[in-house]
Amino acid sequence: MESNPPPSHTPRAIAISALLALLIVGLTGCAMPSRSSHKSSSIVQFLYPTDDRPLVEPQIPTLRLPLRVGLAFAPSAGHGARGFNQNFPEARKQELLEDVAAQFRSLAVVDNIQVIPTTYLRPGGGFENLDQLKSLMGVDVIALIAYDQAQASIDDEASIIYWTIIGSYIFPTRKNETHTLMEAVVYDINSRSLLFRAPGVSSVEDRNTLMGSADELRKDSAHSFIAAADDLSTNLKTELDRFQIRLREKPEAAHIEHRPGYTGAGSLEGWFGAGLLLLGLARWVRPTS
Amino acid sequence: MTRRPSVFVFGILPILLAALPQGHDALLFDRTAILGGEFWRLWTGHWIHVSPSHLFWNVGGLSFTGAWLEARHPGLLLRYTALAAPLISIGLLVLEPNMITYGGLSGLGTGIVVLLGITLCRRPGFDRTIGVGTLFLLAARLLPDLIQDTALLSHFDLPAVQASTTAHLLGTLLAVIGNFAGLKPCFAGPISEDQFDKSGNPQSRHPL
Repeated sequence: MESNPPPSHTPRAIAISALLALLIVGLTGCAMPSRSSHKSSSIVQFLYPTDDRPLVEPQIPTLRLPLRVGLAFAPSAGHGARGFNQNFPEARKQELLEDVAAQFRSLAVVDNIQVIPTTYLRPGGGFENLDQLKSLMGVDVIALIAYDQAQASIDDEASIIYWTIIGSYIFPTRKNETHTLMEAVVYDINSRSLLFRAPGVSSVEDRNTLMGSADELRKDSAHSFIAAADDLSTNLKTELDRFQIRLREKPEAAHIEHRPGYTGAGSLEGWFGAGLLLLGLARWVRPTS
Repeated sequence: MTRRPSVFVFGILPILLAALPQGHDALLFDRTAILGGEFWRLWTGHWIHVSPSHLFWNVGGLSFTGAWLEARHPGLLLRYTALAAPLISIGLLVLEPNMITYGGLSGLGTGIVVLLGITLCRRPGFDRTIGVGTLFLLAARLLPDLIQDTALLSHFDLPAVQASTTAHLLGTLLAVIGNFAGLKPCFAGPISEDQFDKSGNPQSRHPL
């Protein structure tokens, strides 16, 4: 008796296995791994570009009033500049510079403030670069704005849903975090002294789908820069007020003198006039001794 | 009637000059011009103001205190003003070599407040209290500038304009010197009630 050999399932099994393997590989390939990015410009990198350079010894600043102030973005080391320029709109950047400039202009001690194009600053130019600006543009004090932005995109446990392909379009299981620090530091160029600094911070968190993640990260980056710039503006005003109070309360912190050629004016201040008026009123109300 | 000089000198005149800015160049305290022989600027510079708020506070304060001083001692205000104006300017020429131009009545004004304070201090009763209060107020105004040089950080409408502590101190110093040197009344002790006439002015003392 001849029996038929059982039908061989080997080719079919191989085909199914291969298809499954392809599907797994394909789906895994679709699921982007968690990622992070970092953009920054650094004051330290700009002012102290090499490790072997001896640190500059700051001296007690001599502020010749009224001050002439320069304002610029610290040049980026390069790797993050493109992202920064894309995500922080030029118009908003100008707005930020104008905000900062307006706050400086409101100070009695500031004569003029010049917005300095970034092209005037070399990456790693240091104080030598600032000395050049001082000669070229006649500024005594420089306000440098720097930024640092870090972004992370993390999948949570529910991201297994991405395996269904369609899930990667629908379910917002990817968490984006964007942290931005902006900082304005104000240096007296002659003495290399830090006069004051003001920070601006912003954190943006949201969830989105795998497929929309890249776009959302770009939007978050821009929003975070703008929010940090607003925060910087607010803090700068506070720090400017504190700086003036510090100059009054700690005269040893800085030598203050008039710039040659200034116009002097004598004024009875409002509170003094009001005080005199009150004394006069008191005398008028009670005319006899 | 006695109040008219102060109202004109410290009220109407500076406002008129503020309304005629084309004349400022010829009247302002200008170091180079003064040293070139334009000596009238030693007087006229004080009546030129750099901004409306500068004008407002000086005119408001001085019209009031000037009228008060005139009411107590007619003539003293004008004598002090005529003498102190050029002396303050000369002091600024010597002590503030970096100051090229100057404007404002407050140098004179602080001196007038000193004279008013001293005058009131010499009177009996409540006037003396007011006089002491006036001098304390002035001290509170000047001492921070003297100790901490805070005037450098004072706010003017124009950033290139800086408050001059020296002018205030010179005005004060000249009033004190004038008081002791014969710009009566002097700080020679309180006057008794019977030394005042019906209007409250001293009978036995005459300004200058």
